[in-house]
Amino acid sequence: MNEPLVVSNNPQIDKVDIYVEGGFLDVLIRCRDLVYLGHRLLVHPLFASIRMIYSPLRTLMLSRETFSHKENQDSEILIADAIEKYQRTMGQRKEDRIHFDDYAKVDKSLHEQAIRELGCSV
Amino acid sequence: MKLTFRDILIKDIQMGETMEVRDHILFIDRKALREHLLKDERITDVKVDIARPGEKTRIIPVKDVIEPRFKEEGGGNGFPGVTQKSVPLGNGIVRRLRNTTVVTVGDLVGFQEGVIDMWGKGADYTPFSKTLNLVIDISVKKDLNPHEHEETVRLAGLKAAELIGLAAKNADVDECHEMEIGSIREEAEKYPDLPRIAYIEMLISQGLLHDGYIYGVKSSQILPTLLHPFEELDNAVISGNCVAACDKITTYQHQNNSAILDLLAQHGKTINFVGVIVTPELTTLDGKFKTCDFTAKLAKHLGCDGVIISEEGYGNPDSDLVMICSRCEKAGIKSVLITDECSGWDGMSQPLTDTAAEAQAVISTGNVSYVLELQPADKVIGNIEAVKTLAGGWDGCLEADGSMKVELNAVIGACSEIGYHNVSVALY
Repeated sequence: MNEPLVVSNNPQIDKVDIYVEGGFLDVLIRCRDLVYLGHRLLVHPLFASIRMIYSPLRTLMLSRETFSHKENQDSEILIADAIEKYQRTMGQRKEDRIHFDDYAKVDKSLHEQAIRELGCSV
Repeated sequence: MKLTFRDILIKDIQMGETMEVRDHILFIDRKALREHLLKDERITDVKVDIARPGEKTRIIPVKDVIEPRFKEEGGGNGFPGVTQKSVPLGNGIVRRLRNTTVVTVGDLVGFQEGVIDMWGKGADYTPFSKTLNLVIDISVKKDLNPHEHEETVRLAGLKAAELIGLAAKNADVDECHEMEIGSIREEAEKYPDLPRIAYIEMLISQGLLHDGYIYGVKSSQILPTLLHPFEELDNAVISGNCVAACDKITTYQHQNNSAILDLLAQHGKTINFVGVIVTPELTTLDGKFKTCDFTAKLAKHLGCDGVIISEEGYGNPDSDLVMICSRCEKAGIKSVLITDECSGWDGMSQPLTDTAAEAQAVISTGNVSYVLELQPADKVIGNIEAVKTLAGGWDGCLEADGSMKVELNAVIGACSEIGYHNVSVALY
């Protein structure tokens, strides 16, 4: 497949196409913008546990290729739902910036796993 | 396959000169245990402690919980594919030290949570407040990378359970449970009129701290696979999951998978339990589509009339859960989902991150956002600093007297999505 577009705010990720200043929500919003431009989500926007959702860092991948609105509806719904669920889950909580480096390590590992799943060489 | 459990009921754990059971007391040879684990050169220290029900003791952060056993007959003592060479599991005789666990603690990362309180309100929400827990705190060399660190602690816990399990070898047996299930064809011939039901067990399979293992094979490296119901009960599946404290499936819960046990209890009576489909929860969307398609295809190929689907985790796994459900239902297979909810402090928010119209029969294992008040402990086994992480994140969660408010998602097994926990549901 074509190399994916890597969107991240994690300083430990080596190859990032779009670096986002800000937290997890800012990465989600940037990805939403890209989805509305036609890029397709390749990775689910949310992590797999509550504790990881408190992470200040998130790395996601989208397709470089763009698609029409009709073809990209699944990604549009997914990113919108993810943003809403992220905000509801966080509630009054703040991001856990105390463990910034640890979240960076785990986000990086999960990103590497995603790269292996995609079979690409980013 | 025929699997027999010979159970030794343990009433206390004490330190002793040798690893043995006498008068229902499990004696731990601490020196031998430490020496055995320190053979792994990555480990620099091993602290061993005991936590008993009712003591004002807090164990944190918990990595895994494991039941010590001895395989008397059938080969495959320990954890084949992991601590021993791989052999087929599900047949033979297993001696279990019941009411006993090995708990590994120690944070691989600072945000790791997972608490077991042995007393008070917190104890109500974890199944491991009622077991006798032999707690092992592993320290490792500082230059290990995170994957090496996780593997070292994971293996240490399993090796400890294997060594301690030898105490069951010559102990007097209190109870015996035999189970026998033939091939899929044999059981279909025996019970032609019973509905064919499979259990689909989802495992987090996404990377560091987010893995499971089947016969030592990382679950992220497999397509959905079929296991005989007895294999998981016989140590075939272990946990590498260090997140999702409330709903991760600990190795102990794999060994005693309540969904499998409940289905076995109905086998030949109300259902024909055809097997367990273990399916990985992958990270990428294409990966999810592939595994969900494959899972539904396997269920269809097995001739299933219905499936019970359990999830592990929250967030992106919710998508896998509803996609498997949707695909099964469209293939004519009725589905029941078991999942916890993240419904906010008031329980009113949408419980999952994804939905499907076909997901009509859903069993809730609890609201992970439910706020619990925990009292200060007299003793903390593990990392006392982790207590602050447990109660972090919002104003007013820490009281001046040391008590704190935490969400259920921090408590080990509180909302177990295989139903191995203390919470029930009421229908309104």
